[in-house]
Amino acid sequence: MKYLWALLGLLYALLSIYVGYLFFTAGTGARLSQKGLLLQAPPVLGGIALVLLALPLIWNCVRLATSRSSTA
Amino acid sequence: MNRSILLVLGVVLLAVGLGVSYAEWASGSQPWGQLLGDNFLFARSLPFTIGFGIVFGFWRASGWRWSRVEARAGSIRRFAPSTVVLHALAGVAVVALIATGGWQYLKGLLDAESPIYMATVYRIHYVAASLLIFVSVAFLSDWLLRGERSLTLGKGQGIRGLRGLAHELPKPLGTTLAYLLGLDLRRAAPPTDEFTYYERAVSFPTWELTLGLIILTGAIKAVRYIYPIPGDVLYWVSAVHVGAGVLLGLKLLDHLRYVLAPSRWPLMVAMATGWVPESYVKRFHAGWFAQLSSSQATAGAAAASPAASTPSPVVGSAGSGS
Repeated sequence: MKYLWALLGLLYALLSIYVGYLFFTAGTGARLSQKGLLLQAPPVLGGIALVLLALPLIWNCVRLATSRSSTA
Repeated sequence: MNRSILLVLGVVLLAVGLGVSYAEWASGSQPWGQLLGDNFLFARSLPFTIGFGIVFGFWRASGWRWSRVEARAGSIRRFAPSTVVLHALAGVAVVALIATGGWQYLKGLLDAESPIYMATVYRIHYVAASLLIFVSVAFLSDWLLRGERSLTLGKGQGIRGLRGLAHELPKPLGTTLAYLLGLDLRRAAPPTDEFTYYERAVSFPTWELTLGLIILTGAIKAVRYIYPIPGDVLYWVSAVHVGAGVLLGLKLLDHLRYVLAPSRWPLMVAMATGWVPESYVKRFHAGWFAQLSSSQATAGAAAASPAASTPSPVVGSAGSGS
């Protein structure tokens, strides 16, 4: 069960990084650039936040999958 | 008995409410497509979903066994079986909402064609939203009725709680927080109760904020074809709904990061089974362990002389509930 959760967490983190990338590229793209900073900021900031918060999750999933003791 | 009758009434009312709306939709008397039909069905079912959530919360609270500390060979009950089920339902609903809501947002953001029929995406979104609203209202009613406060810092415990949080956080973050708030980290960390200081000071309040925002704005958006809502208001409500959706995705990342830490794996298991090893509680939740021990001692003393005292309720309730 521990490995399944580590895998699920890893998948969610990787998907979040991909979505964060899509948010960032769409936010800085030509289409939203014409609409002003107010509409650009949410996807750009949201994209960066998604990537930043996904990294510690990846780290913990790897630690969970490789840890020997459950209460280490 | 009375509480069960009330629960059955809640189920019947929900079924009638859904049935009437569904019958109108299926009769063909209204020129609604799948998307608009689903929207009407969802919006009209909201009062019944909320009502059923309140009744379920009442049913749970009135059947809660207050004074019992449940323990078995080396384990202590941390969550009631119904808490485990409701939490699992909320988890499924949140994942489905993030997936379908994210799909809708990305479709607009990227200006792309969806390979999945969008009305089906919205249908799943509405079903998941109904589930989340039901679970949220049920938990809220139950906690309010029982006066359950174990997931909050508690009245007058703010400074102590923040000091506990500063001790729990990684050192650079903890010392920064202590410096900013003027907390004395030379004092020993207060013992952890049933939930950690991070869960009580950061995690749970952000869940409340995020879920509150997303449910409130989602409900306003859903009823816009039944009650006229000014365009400007709807624009901002939609913007907040999308923002809260992104916040929900971020919150889930942080929640998984926290619960999937190897040192907290026994708590993750407890969320599925309801049980946590006694040795773990003793080591990492000393405050809770002390409360449980004193409750057991009180119960033992009361059993020895029934007239001498009455069992005191367990703070944070380790009782099995219904």
